[in-house]
Amino acid sequence: MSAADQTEPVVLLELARASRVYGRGDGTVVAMSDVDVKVRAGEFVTIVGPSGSGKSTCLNILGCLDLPTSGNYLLAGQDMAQIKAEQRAVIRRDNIGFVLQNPNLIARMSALENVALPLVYRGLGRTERRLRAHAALEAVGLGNRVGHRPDELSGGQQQRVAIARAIVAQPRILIADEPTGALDTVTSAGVVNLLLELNRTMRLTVVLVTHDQSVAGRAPRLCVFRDGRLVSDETGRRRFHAC
Amino acid sequence: MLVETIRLAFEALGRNALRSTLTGLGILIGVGAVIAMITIGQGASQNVRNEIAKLGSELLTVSVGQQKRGGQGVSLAAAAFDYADVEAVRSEIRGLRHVAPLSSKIGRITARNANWNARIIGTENAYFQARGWNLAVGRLFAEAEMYNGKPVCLIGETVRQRLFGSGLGAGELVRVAGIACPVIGVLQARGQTGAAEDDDNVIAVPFDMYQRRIQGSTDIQSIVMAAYPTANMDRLKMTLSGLIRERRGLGAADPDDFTILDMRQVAQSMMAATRTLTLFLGAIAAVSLVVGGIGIMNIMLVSVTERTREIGVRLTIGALPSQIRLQFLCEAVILTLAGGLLGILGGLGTAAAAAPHLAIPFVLDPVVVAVTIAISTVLGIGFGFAPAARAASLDPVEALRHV
Ligand SMILES: Nc1ncnc2c1ncn2[C@@H]1O[C@H](COP(=O)(O)OP(=O)(O)OP(=O)(O)O)[C@@H](O)[C@H]1O
Ligand SMILES: [Mg+2]
Repeated sequence: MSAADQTEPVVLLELARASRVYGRGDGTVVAMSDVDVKVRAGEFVTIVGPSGSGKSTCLNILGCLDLPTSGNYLLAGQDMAQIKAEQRAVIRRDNIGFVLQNPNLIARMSALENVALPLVYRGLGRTERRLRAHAALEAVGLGNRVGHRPDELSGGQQQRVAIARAIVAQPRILIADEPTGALDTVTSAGVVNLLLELNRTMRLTVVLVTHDQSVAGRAPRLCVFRDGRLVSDETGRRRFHAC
Repeated sequence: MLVETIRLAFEALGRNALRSTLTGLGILIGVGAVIAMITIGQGASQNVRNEIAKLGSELLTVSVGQQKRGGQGVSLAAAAFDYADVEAVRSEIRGLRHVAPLSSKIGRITARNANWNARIIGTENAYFQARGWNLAVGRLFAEAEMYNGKPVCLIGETVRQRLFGSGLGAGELVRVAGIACPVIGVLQARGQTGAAEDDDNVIAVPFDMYQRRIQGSTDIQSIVMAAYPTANMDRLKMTLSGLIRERRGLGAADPDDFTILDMRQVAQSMMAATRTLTLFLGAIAAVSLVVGGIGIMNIMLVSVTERTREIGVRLTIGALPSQIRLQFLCEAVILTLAGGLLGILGGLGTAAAAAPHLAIPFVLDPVVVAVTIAISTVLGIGFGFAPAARAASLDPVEALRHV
């Protein structure tokens, strides 16, 4: 290791020979096998791979929604398999923001209420929630749409609301599973730019799964999955310059 | 957090207002039925207690014939008592305060231009003393009036109202079996007792006059006695029974051809009967409460299934399983509490409305209300537990995949 490595940020997420097998007996599916990956604080990791290659499986584990069936997953050095589900939920709440392919907004709530919802579960008061939700919506460029309900927003706007909801509680890690999957190219570029910007300005660690080649092309670190295996993991100065 | 959870629960319930209302209605009906039944039952018990208190628990009545309780089946063979029996009881049984002969029949009485059917009784002053029945106005029979057949009468409150309306009654003239009797006194109202016969619908004439001029014989149907409060009723009843058997010449193998009625015994069996009835009605009503609870459980389970995806979203954005569980428990408790509180009001209202028709007092028992509220809450937690646990144990990944 070179001298430059000494200043590198701490390892935040670590998969060590982690596998995930679905089902028992004959009908088992190995969704992910022997994946080793380390994500440092402040990194922007992009994952690509064919459909069914285990990207979502990996993200669910990284996001503490699921556990590997063998191997280990450590978040900030803590093994997630060693703690109870409720504690894992607490760690998830305190560290992780999620953006999914589908915005999954609650239809009867306004954008502001949707964004404020995570704060309800963190025990914040009403005014504090509104203030922070407002700020988060400003950050995703929707400061003028706070009162709109999801069905009054475009797909890209809905996904921005979902991003605002994911960052409102100021998580350390943002996990995004094909957030642009349902969007057109222009809109999706906007969403990815937003994620890159959040990564830069807020030192937010981002793990992004995408099918979009243009996104993959300018990713600072690119991981490629195939048949449940991590077949390539490249970090390049070339990539940083590209964006 | 709890405030917020309660708010979320209300919001979730409000979203399906009709369904929530119908589910709450199940509990409302259940709680309402339990409360109404218990309150009515308690009213009935109170009624029995009042009546017993009025009659006096030291009251004993010996009547001719074997009567089934509440029945009128005087066996034909049984001979009537005569005055010598009364005298014998008076002189030979110790522990009795008052002893009075009593004969009665229903008859028509008239006054000026009104007439009315009432129970005409022939008795002595001791009867009123035995029953602790005082006069509202006037006086009891004079010694002379009791034994010289002079026609005078005491009237009950109902008779006074029917014949004289707002008039005082005392000093007026009433015709009983064609005999003109001056009213020398009006008996105090005993009030509506819920018994089949109105106690106040009575006109009393001296025993002698009744025998000679109304009944036309010296037969005595029953003897009414009041024991001293300190008397041993069981022993008293035994000696009384022995005396009467002896006087009626009954052999050891002969069954009694008379009946001794002890008010305390009647009171006890009536209380026991009303208590049993209350419990029985309450138990039936409780079944509907359980049905209501199962309704809540059912709807909550449906609601968890319907909201699976939303629960997944909430878990993903930071809700803890315990918070999800709390929210569903809150929803169940809110439903049962709201249903329960309205049910209490409904039940009490029903009981209050029914009380006058059933001729019983309305008894509001705060203990019953408190217990019902507690039961509603426990029911909510109990029947809400399984759905809440199911919601909390959802796997977020699976839940998000749910459509
Ligand atoms: N709950 C499950 N039960 C059984 N098999 C599953 C389950 N979830 C995923 N799999 C299987 O695991 C493999 C990897 O799935 P995963 O969702 O991780 O793929 P992916 O890379 O995200 O694909 P896509 O790009 O289509 O989203 C697939 O073969 C899938 O069929
Ligand atoms: Mg996927």
